[in-house]
Amino acid sequence: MRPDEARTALDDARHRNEAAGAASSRWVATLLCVWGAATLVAEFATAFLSGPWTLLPVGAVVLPFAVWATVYALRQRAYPRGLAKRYLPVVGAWTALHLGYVLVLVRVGPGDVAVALIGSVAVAAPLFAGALVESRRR
Amino acid sequence: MSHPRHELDEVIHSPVRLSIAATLAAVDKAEFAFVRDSVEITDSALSKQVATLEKAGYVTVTKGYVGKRPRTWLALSEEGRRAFERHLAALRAIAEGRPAGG
Repeated sequence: MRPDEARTALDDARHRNEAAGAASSRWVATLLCVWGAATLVAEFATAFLSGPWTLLPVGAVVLPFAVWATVYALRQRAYPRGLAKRYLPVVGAWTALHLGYVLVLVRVGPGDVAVALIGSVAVAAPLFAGALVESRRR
Repeated sequence: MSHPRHELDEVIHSPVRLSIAATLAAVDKAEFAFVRDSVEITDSALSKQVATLEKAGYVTVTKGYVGKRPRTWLALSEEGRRAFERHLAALRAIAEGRPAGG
């Protein structure tokens, strides 16, 4: 094999590898983006509700999202490598921020627009950051 | 000092199989149709090449269903991943005019 043939083979392998990596990551970016939007809406709405009504955003936004996300993920044709390893920190951060936000809401009570806005954006931030990172993957 | 061509993997050396391995190296697993479209070959040609890679222990084939639709999943095995990396290293050495492992 000549050096130019080896270079051509390497270029082709790199091109295929990057194309497959990008194609398999695209749907993950979409899923994280929609998850972020669902989180934003649900967390923001929760701040204006009290008692059993706080479960309303979960039923109206989070549950339909969970069903859609499961169906969407199962219909994909390729799954990126190390997905669980990469997104375990994102899900961990999202859970911790959500719990923190709930504690703040319990302390300040419902109806505070500033708390609702800052809190919902903070909880959704790891998901949007993950979507941004995933959309730039090659 | 050995020439790096001796390090080339005979199974992965074929251009189509190298493309299949490169595609699968980027993913955890991929559907048959995804690999077919990525490598731009026919179903029968992909089946033939996958059978060769599977026989060498480089690719695992899993069949299943999503709803009522049958699906075939392809994945590069750990052995296949190592062979692919070794093959790429040999190609790099040839391209750069280095000896094997240099």
